Amino acid sequence: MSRRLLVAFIVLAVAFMTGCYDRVDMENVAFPLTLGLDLDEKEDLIVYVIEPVFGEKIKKKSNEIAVKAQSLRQARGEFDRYSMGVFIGRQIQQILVGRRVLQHDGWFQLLDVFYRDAKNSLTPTVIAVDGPVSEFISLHSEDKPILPLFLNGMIESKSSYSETVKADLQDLHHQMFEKGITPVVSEIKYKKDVYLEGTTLLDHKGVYAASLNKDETIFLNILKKKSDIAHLSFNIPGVSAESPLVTGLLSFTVSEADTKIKTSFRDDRFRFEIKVDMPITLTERVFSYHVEKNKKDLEEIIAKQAEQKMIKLIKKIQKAKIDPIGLGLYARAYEYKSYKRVEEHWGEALSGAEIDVTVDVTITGSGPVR
Amino acid sequence: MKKYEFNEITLLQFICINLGIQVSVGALSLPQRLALKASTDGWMAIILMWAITIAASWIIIQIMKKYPDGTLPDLLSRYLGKWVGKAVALAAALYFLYYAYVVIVSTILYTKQWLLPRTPGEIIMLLFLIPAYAIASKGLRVIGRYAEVVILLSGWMLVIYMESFRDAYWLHLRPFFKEGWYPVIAALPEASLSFIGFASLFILYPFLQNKQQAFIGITVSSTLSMLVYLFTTIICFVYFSPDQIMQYNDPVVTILKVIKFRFVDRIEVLFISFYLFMFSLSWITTIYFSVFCTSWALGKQDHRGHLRILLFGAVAGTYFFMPTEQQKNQLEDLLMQIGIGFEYAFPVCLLIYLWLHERVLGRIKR
Amino acid sequence: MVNLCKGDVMRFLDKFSRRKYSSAREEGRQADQDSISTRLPQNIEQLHNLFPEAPDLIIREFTIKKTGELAALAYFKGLSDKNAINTSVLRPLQFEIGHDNQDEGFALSVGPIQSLNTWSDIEASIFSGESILFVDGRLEAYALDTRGWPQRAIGEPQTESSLRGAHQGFVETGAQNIAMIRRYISNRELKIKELKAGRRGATKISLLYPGDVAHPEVLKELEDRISQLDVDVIINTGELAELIEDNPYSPFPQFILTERPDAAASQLLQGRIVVIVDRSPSVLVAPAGFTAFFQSIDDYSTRWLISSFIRLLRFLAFFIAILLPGLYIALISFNYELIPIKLFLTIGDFRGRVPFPPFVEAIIMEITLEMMREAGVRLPAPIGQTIGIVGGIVVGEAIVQAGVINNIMVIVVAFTAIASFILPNYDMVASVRIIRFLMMIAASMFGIVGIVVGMMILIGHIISLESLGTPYGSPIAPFRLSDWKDAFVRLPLWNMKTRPISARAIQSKRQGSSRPKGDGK
Repeated sequence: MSRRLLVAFIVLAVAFMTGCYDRVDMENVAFPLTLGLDLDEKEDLIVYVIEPVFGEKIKKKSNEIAVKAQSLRQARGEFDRYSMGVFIGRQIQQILVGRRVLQHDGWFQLLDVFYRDAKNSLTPTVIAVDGPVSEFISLHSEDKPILPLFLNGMIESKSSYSETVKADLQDLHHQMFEKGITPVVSEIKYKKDVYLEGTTLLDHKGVYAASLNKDETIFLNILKKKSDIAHLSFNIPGVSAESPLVTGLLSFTVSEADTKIKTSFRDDRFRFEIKVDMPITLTERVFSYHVEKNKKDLEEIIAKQAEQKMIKLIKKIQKAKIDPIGLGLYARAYEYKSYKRVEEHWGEALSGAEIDVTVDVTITGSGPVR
Repeated sequence: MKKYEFNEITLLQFICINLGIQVSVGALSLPQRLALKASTDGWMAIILMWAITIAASWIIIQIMKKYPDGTLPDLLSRYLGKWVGKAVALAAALYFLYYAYVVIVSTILYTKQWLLPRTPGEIIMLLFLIPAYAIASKGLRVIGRYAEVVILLSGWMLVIYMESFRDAYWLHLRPFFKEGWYPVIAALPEASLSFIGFASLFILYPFLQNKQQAFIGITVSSTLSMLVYLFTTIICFVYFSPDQIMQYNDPVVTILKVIKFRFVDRIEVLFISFYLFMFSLSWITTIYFSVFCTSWALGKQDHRGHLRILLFGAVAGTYFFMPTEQQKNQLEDLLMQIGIGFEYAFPVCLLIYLWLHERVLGRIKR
Repeated sequence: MVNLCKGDVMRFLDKFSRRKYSSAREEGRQADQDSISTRLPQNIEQLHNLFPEAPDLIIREFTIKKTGELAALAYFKGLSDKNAINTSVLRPLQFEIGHDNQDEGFALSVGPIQSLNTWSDIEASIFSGESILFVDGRLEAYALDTRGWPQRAIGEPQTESSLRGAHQGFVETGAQNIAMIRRYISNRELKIKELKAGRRGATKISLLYPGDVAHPEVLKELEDRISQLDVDVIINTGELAELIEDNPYSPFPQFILTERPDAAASQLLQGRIVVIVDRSPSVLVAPAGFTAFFQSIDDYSTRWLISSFIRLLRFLAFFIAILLPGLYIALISFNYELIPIKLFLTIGDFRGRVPFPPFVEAIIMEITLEMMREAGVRLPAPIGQTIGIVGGIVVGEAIVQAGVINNIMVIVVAFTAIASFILPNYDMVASVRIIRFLMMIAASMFGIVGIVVGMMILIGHIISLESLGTPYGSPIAPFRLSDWKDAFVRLPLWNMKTRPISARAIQSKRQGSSRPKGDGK
């Protein structure tokens, strides 16, 4: 028995002496929370990071570093030379990608380190920046939490109302590698402060294709079946404008919109029949209208407008030869053979496809007032 | 003569041990392997392989019934002589040892990849072998209890996957039989890697309390493994795009990378650490089988001497040679081939031989 | 003070004792040196020889009035009841004549009277508090049951107080403890086996078991282990437990030690065996499983839903108490990515001020806590309160202000302490403390992997433990679903129709459905 204890003790002692290879205490680590990628005037890659600063007497809550580098891993080496601890990218919250970067293909390959190193997180959201990234990095608001947290909250809440998308690295990977869909990421802009624009659409190679504003994004999300709830405002035509305050604006909430997509292949081109069921509740009406009496009319007016907006959106998509909706998935699922033939250039095939949209609106509630 | 009576295990323990051996090696990479061969039709191979596995284990049980109080070496030494028994015992010992080695090596690689990248392999090996010794040295009964606890503790891991359904594209699965039957058949061997391990019957059968339930036990455990595989595979297929899934070595883990809860981020780190329990069940049991066989062959009652030598050898061996990721894949492929031979082909041949043997000898005796 | 040993019924020695006396004389002839002599002065001299330096030995010589024989009474001051000796022994012998029809008997108002004729017997009984009556001319001495050693009043057990349970605790007298259990189980099937252990002071050990329920194999095993003991003396039940445990190297208690008669009785009814060690206020219950240490007698008297919730809470607390500091170290030193970002920034802020690595920080706090707890146990109650103040203000407040330990660590330690306080069994709490430190070491070396491997070893250890040959891990492993009714939850009493399998009862049916059905009429 005592021999066994001795053996156990030796094993423990050996393990103890040889252990701790991977231990890096938190205070010896620098954690970038936001990573920024941009190109300067000479088309050189600039990598930015924002890291939190800990300490009682330090006023500034975060620290920013910008370096020139050819890859993220190389950039990390540079960051290390500027910082107190070892750089570890496991807490990165978002990756800001400048428009100039997005205009070149191959930028997605830069993110390889996130996928290759299993210890890295795939949760950072990818955000496209309309303009230079440096504007955001150097931003210091006294009355706001630090940028990484601010952006986190912003994207989180807005994406839950379908006004943008929350595309993390995993999603981006999915959309880049899936041939039947093209990537969508959220887009921000600097308008005196951080301003959420909507979404950026990328093509198969990840190159910038188009931008969508808030309303367009909502429709895109409805078409993607990714919209739980969304707030929209339409202008109802025919309201006489007696006062500048009286407009034909009608606001409503779309909840649980249901989208059905029928796929077929005829005459050498794909046909998609999209049918959207939109149950809405009115939230605001700044003009007088007898909703109860004219319910059917109102539903029709809204449906018509929604339809037009969606068709406009689809036209935009088709023109850019991209497929953010993921119609390619439907094509593969239902017209496998035909899809396989055009798989490699699906965007082009889709631009020639015939897409019909019909919208059906039902007003399920108009609030406690008449 | 009932020499294994002292270490009897219950039906539930039997099921848990088998499940533990099966759901270990190849479980995390199964969707990728299947997708490489049969794209999103790969899940059908799981069901087919399950049926084949049930058939194979039925055959093993028919063999073991011929000598219900002995293990495979006992049975063979009775039918074919002592030396054949010993030879087969050593072969089985090598097979189980190899199985355990592949499992433990892949566990170490997973640990290094996801959790402790800088810790040397032999230290992790040493770490893993401490519980292995603590449990395997106590005999089969304690292993059975350990299996029960581990299976009980691991159930929650499947629940996490429910979260992934929110981002699922069920369209990925369609159409069925994209390229016809052939890819599904081609994916069968890949699925077999995840099912092998039921050869434990060769050793476990005499220990089972109620031997009539052996077939029920093996059916339940194989079915459970099948359901687990089917569940994880289908989730991976609907979550990842068919074009994308090939990019990930362990889609079963990668899928968890973006799941966040309010109280914990990065659930996959917890998952991998907890999955060590499942892995440990597999390697502890197979290590035990291995030393059981060698002790049997050398006529020793106490298996602990061999266990110590084996574990020491494993640590020392890892110090000199630790397989890389690619070598691990080769090891797995080899295991798959040996496994198909030992667990699917060998029992059939043996049963036919025994049947002929009985017919011929039985007539003479009568 | 109640004295059970004091005879309450006047008794006379009758023919029965005469028979015993004659048989004793026959035995006495065989023993030579050890046997007493017929002559009183010789006996008294021998007594002085046997107990040379024992000023508390009292020898009183007198003449028996009835027969006129010379006699001597020997007893230890303090071990025997002075009143009983004076009124029930000395007075009748010296002053009463008694009835004529008794030749050799004495008119004594004490309970059992035993004839002894060897010095070793006399030694044993005089130490147990009996007084010995020597009569000149007789080859026997009489042991009179006048036991009356210092005793404590029966009170509420300090370590296991309960809200609804009885407020009587065991005391230091074995016979009283048996009586307390008998009050709960007044049934002839409650069998008692008496054993003795210890060379220097034979300790009376009583095994109580339900005769028709307890498994004979388990009983035999326990009996064997106790009878094979070779020790000086057993001072406390804890010693006995350590001596007869299956695995003394384990950190886990393998027997339940309790001071509560109601708890002991309830365990008896489940088919377990209760061991009462004379002179020790706690009794030992065997065999015990791991889950038994999470049960408290209050569970059965509170509503089942609530007590089930509390039970689950205890198991949760067990894991928190074991793992939380280890997890803290693992998260801070290895796997920061698991911490949600907002909490992460908070922790980072606090950690930035602290000079020590997390492991050292945790060790400092845990050791401080353990010391405070130990100090609180030993200190008398009025001073003990200051410990709370010192702990609360100095450690909680100042240490953080000074930047030695960070806030989160203080929270972790406090949480761990609270978690370990709700475990009802002191022995289990003690083992939890040890395991916690091991987990902290494992976590500081290998992070989460260390904790998982630690858990593997822990689980492997628990399931391989046995208590009197019954598996310790039951009902989890070996899995026994029917025992789950009273393990992690407590189902309604009318659902517990069978005794737990882990107690290995040979008769497992408990009671019928005793709940009135229908409208309750």
